[in-house]
Amino acid sequence: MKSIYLPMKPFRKSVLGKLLLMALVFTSCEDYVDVDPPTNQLTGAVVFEDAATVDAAFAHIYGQLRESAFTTGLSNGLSYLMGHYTDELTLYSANLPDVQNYANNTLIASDSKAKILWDTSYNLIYASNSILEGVQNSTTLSQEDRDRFLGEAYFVRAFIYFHLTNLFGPIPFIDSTDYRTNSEVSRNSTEEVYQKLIADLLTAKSLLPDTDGSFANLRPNYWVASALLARAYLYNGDWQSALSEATDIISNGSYTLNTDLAQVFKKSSTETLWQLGEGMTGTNTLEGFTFIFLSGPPPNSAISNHLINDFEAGDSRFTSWVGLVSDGTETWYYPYKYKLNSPTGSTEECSILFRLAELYLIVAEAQAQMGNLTEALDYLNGIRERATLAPIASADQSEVLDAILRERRLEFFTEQGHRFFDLKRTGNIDDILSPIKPNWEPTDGLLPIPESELILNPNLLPQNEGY
Amino acid sequence: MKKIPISTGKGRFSAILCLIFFPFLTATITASTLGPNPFTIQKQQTLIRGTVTDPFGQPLAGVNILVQSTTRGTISDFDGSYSIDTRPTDTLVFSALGYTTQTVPVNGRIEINIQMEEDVTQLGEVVLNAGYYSVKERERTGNISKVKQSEIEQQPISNPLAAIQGRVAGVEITQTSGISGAGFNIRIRGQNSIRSGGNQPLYVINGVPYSSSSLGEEQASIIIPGTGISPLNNINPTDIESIEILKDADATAIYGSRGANGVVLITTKKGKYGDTKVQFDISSGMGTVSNTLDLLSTPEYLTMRKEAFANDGVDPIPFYAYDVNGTWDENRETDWQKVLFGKTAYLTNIQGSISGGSDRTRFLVSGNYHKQTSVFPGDYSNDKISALASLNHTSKNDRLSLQLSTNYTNNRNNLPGDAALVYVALALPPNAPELYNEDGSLNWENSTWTNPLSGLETKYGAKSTILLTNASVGYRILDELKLTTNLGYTEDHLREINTVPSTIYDPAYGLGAESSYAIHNVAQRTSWIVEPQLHWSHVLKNTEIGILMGLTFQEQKNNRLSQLAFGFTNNNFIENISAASNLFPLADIEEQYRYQAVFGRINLNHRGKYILNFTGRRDGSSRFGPNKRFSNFGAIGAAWIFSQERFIQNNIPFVSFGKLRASYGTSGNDQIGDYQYLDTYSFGSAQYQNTIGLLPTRLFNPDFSWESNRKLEFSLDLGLFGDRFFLSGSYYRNRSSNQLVGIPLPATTGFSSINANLNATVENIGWEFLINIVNIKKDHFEWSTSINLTIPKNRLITFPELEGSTYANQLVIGEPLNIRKVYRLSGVNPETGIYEFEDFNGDGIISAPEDKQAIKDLNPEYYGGISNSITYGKFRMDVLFQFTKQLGLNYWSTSGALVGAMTNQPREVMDRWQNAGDQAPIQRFTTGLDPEASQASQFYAESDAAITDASYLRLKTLSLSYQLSKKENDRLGCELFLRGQNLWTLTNYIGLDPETRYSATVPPLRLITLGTRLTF
Repeated sequence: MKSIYLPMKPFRKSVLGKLLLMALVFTSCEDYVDVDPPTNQLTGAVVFEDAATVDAAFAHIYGQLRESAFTTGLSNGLSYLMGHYTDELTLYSANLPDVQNYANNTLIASDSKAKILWDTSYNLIYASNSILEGVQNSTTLSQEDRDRFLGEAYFVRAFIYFHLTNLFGPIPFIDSTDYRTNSEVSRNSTEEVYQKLIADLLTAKSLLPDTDGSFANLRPNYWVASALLARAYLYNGDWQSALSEATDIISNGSYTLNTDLAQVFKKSSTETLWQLGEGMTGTNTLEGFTFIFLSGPPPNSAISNHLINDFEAGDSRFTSWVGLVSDGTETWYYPYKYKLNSPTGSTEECSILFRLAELYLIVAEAQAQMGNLTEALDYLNGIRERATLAPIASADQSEVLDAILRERRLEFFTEQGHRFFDLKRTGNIDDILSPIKPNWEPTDGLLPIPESELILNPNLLPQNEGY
Repeated sequence: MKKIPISTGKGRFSAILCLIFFPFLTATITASTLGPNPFTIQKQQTLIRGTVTDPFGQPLAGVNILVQSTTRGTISDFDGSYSIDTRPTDTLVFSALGYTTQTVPVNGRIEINIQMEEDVTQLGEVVLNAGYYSVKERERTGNISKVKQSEIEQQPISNPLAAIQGRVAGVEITQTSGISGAGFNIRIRGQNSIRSGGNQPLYVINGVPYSSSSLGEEQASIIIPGTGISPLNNINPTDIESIEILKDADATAIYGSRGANGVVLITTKKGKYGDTKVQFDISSGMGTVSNTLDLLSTPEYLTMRKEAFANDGVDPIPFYAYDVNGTWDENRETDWQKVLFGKTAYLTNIQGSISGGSDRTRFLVSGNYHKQTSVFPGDYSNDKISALASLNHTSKNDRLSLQLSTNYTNNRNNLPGDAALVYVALALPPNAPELYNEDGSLNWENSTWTNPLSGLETKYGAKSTILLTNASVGYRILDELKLTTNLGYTEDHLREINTVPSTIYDPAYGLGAESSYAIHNVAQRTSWIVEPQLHWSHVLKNTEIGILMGLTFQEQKNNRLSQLAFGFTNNNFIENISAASNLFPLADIEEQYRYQAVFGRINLNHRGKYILNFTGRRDGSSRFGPNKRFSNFGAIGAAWIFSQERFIQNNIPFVSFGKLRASYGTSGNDQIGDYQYLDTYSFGSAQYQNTIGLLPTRLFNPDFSWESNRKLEFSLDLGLFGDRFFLSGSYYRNRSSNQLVGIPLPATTGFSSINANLNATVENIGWEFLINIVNIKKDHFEWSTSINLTIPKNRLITFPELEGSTYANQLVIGEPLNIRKVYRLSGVNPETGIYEFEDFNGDGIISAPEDKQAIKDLNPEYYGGISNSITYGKFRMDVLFQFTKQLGLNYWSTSGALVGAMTNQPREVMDRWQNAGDQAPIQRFTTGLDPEASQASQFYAESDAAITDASYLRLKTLSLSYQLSKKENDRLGCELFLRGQNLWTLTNYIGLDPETRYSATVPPLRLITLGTRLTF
C-alpha cells in the first residue's frame, strides 16, 4: 500500500488541485484490492498436478458414497429405503413420514428422498467427470497413476449410472462438466445408458490394476469393474457375457468365500471385492447404526414377517445374520449382518458393495438361463452349503431360476436394494408385491424424477408414469 | 386547531405581537403605578441567568424563555445566554422549534443551564447523520429516516433492528423466531436481488462498516432459523443514540457498491455538556410465547385417528398405531406446547452510565447487563454484558477535534440443540406418554415414541465477544477547510458448541458415549478501515457550497475452524475436545476481503431555498474477478424549500414548511461472499482412508461483475400550522439490473446453483407516507401521533429467455420475485371426500409443474405503524401499533396436511368430510394408507390452501413511565416505567405467528418489564 499522507504545501494551491492529487494517489493503489487466494480451497487445475490431491478428490467421492449417496447405510440409502419399499422391512416409527411413503408406496413427485438420491448421484457424477477431465489434461501425473485414476473415475460413474437407471428409468447420461449443456440435457433411454456404462466399464477394466496394492478392497480395481460388468450383463439378459465375467473373477481373482458366516461382513472378509472404508478411525458401518436395536418394540424398523417366513428351517444365515429382540410375548428381528452399531478401537466392519457370493449366484443364474442346470446348481448349492442348507436338485429350469431368486433374497437381504432390482429385472415385482402391499401399482417400479429437476429443466419431461 | 403557543411561532410573529401590544402594556404599567406600589411585591424578583445548549452541547440561540402563566419572556442570545427576572416560585418554560419544550421550576436558583432535546415531531434544526456528512433535516435532499434513542429505549429488546420495526416507512423488518439470538429479516424498499441472500443493507456503526453475516457453523446452531446466530445481537440497543436509515439514491450513492439495499447507520451514545450525570436503569420482567395453536383434545384426536383407520379400511388397528391401539393410555392429555415451549422467560436488564463534560471535552462510560431465560424446559439463558466508552474533545482554537468510542460486548447464549422441538410440540399426540419414569429417567415407553425431551439432551452454546473501536480526528486547516480521518477497528469472536450425547437416542439402540459427538466452532472476524476526508465549505454570495472528498481503505478477514469431536468414553466429557477419540475438521476457513474507494459530495444551497447535492463513489472490491473490480456510482439530489418563497408565505401562511425533493442515481451490491469468481476445490466433510475429501465447490464462471441499482425518488414534505401537522410523502422506483444470482441449476449439473450475472431487471416501486401530528400541546398535557405507511410493489420487469431458464417455474415477468406457484384447491369432492385441484393443462392428472399455476404473492401489500405519545404531568405513555397486510405460508405448509396420521392437528380439522354428499373444507381423515387421500394431502400442502392471509395488527410496544422526581429539581431523578412488547395481535393467520410465518420455531415473545431509572 502506498502512503496516503498529503504534504502540507500543496494546500496553498487550489482545492481542485488537491483533490486531483488524492485521485492520483488513489489510482496508484489499485492493486490494493488484490487478495491472497483462500487457504482452504484449491483452484481447479492445481488439484490434478499431484497424485495425492487426486486421491483426495476420490476420497470425497467414496466418503459421500458412505455417508450420503444411495449406498449409505443411513435412511437415505437403498438398503434401508428399498427394504421398506419392497417386502424386507417393516416401519415401526411413526415419526418418519418420508420413510412412511416408501413403506406405503405412496411417493409423489416432490418426494425428498428421491431428490436426495438423484442430487447426490449427479453431484458425484460431476466429481467423476471433473476428475476425468482434470487427469486427462494433467501433464505431471505418472502413467500408472493416470490409468488408475481414469479407470476409477470411469468405474464410479458407471456404478452410479447403473443404480440411477434402475431406480429412475431413462436418465440423462452426462459425461462433461459444462453446466450450460448439463442444465438442458434430455433423458437417454435405458438401453443407451446401459450401452454407455458398459463401454465405460470395459475402459475402466482395461485401465485398472488387478491388485489392490495398499488399498485392501477399499478402492475399486479390475475385478470390481468386472463384477459390475457381470451384474450389468445379467440385468440385460446377456447371459454369456455375465457368465464369463463372473467365472473369471471366481477362478482368477484372489477372493474366496468365507466358510464362517460371521466373517462375511467383517472388514477382513476374504470374499469382499469392494467395501467403503471408514471415515474416522474406529467407526463401523452406518448400517449397524441404522438397523440394530436392543429392546422392543422396534424404535425404527424391523425385518418384515414376509422375509422371516422365507427363511428355510436350518438356514444358518438366519441365526448368524438376523438379530432378535423379544419382550417375552412378542419377537422382533433386525438385520444383523453388520454387528457393530458404534465405534470400536479400530474399525472392524465396513459397508460392503461387492462380494464374491453375488458372482456365484450370477454364474448360477446365467447358466440356468442358458439351460446348463447342473452347472447352475453347482454354484447355487455352493452358497446354500455355506448356509448349512441341503443342496437343491432339479431338472426344471424355472424351478432352478426361482430357487436362485429366493437364494438371492436370503443372501442379499437389506443389502443395497438387491431385492428391489431383482424383482424388477425378473418381472416378478407386481406379482409379489401387489398382494402384500395394498398401494402397490405397476408404475411403482420407477421412482419419480424429482419435481425440482423437471421445474428447472423441462427437457427432462415427461415425468415417469404414475407421478 | 388549538391555540398556537408563541413559543412555536416564528420570531417575527412574536415581534409583531410585541409591537402591537406594546402601547397597551406600557399603558397598563403606567396605570398601575398610580395604585399601591407594585414594586413592593416584585422586590422578591431576582435576575436569573443561564445558558441554553443544544443536544450536542453547543450554544443555542433563539430559544424562547417564558415565565409560566405570564407574558414575561425573553429569547436566548447568539451564545445561548439569557437572563430574566423571576420569583423563586416561578417556573420557566424553554421552547424552540425542533426541540421539546422544557418546564423548569426556579426553586430559588439564580443560574439555570438548560440542554434542549430534539423533538421528532418537529423539523427545525434536527440534524441527521448521513454517514460521511451530516445534514439538517429541513435541508436534506435524500431520504433519511431517524429512530431516536427515546424510541429505542422504550422497548425491552436485545437486537437493535427490533427498535426500527414499525417505526420507519419503507423498511420491512420481521423477526425470524422468538429464540434469543435469532436474527431479523430486513428489507429496505423491497427485494432488489433475485438471490434471497443478497438483500441485506449495509450496517455502519460509528462510521465503521459492520458485517451482519453470521460467523456461526450452521450444523451447530440448527435451532436458530436462517443462517445462524446474528452478530447484530451483540450491539446493545440501550447504548444507541440514534439509528439512521438511508434509502434513496441521494443518500446511498456515497456508499457505492454496498448501498443498493440501503444503509443502516448506528450511532452510539456520547457524553453531553453539563454536570456529571450518573444514571441507572434497572428493569426486570417476563415473557411468554405470544401465541399457541388450538390443537385437538385427546377425545377429538382419538376420534380422528379411529375414523382415519376406518376410512382407510384398516381393521384391526395395526400394531404400530400405539396411540389408538390401546398401547398408550387413551385418557392422558398433555398440552405439549405448554410443556415444550410454554415456560415463562425472565428478563433482567441493568444499565449504568456516567456522563458529562465541559464545552471542550465530554465523556460517557456505560455498562449493561442483560439476561433473558428461555421458554424451553430446562435451564437456558442469554447473558449479555456490554460496555461503552466515548470521549470527545475540541481544542481551544477549535481547530482540532477528536472523537473516540469503544464498545465491547460479551454475549453468552445457551439453547437446546434440537431444532424440531416446536414442530414436535405441535405434532405429538395429546395422549402421548409421560416424559419421565418414576426414577426420573426419560421414559421411552418401550420404544413406542421418541421422548421429546431427548432433544433437550443436545445443547447449543454460543459465546461471542465484539469489540468496536473507532476514532475520528479532525483538523481545521483553514477556516473553510477541514481534514478528518475516520479510523475503525472491529473484532468479532464467536465460540459455539453443540453437544449431541448418545442419550438422545432411544436406549433400545444400545448406543453409548462412543456414539456421542460435539461440534465446536471457533470463528473470528477482524476488520479495519481508514477513511481520510477533506471537507470544504464556502459561501459565495447567497450560495453555500459544501464539498467533501474522501478515500476508503478497508480490509476484513474471517477465519473459522469448525470441528467435529466424536466418540467419548463418558458423556460427562462431551464438551472437552481432548476427550474425543476422533476429531474431524468440518471447516477451516480463512477469507480476506479488501475494499477501496474514492468518494465525494458537492452540495449547493442557494438562499436556503434551492439545494443541489451531488454524490459519487468509485469502488474496488476483491470479491470480483481481476478485470471487473472497479466501478463508479453516483447520484444527484435536489430540493426546493418552497415555504421560503415570499409568495407562499404571503398567500398560504398556514404552511410553515414545504419542500419538494427529487433524487436519481446508482448504487451497487457486492454481497456475494469472497472468492466467488474462482473455480475451486475445497476440503469437504467426508474422510476416506485417512484422507480428507476434496470436493469441487464451485463452477468456473468467467463473467462475474457488479449488480447495479438505479434509484429514483420524488418527495413532498409539508408542515402546517407551525409544523404541528407534518406530512411527508415519497414515491420511489428502484430498478436493479445485472442481477448477481445463484442461478439454480438442475442437479444434473452436479450443483444446485451457480453465481452469475443475469441480465434481468427487478423493480421496486412504492409510496411512503409519514404523518406527524401534535394533537395537544399544553404545559402539562402533550399528545402526539405519528403514522407511517408503505405501499410497496415489487416486480420482475425483464428476464431474457425466462421460459428456457432454470427460473421458468419460479418467476413470472410482471409478478413479484417472492411468489409461489402452487396448485389451486377446488375443494373437497362431496362424493369421494378427497381434495381436488384445478387441472390447468387438462390432462386429467394433477402434476407439477404444469398444474402448479396459481400464483401467490408473499410480499406485503402494505405495512406501517401508528405510534402515540402522551405526556400528562409526570406520566408518559408511548404506544406503537404495527400492521402488515400480506399473505403467508401457513401451518399446512410447514407440517404437511396428512390429517389423520399420528400427529396432532389444529381444531379446524374436525370440520371434515365424513359421508357422501358432505360439503366440508377438510378432506376425509386418512392415516396415509389411502394413496389417493394421502397424495391429495401432500398436494394440499403445496396448494393455495397453504398460503393464506397473514395480515396482522400488533401492539408492538407499550411503554408507561412516571417521573417521580427530576434531577434538576430534586437532585435525584427517579422515573418508573413499565414496558411491553408484542402484547396483543389481531390476525386471521393459521399458524403460530404471522410475523415469522413459520410454524416450526418459537413465535416472538410477549414481554413485560418493570423498571426504574435513577439519575443523580
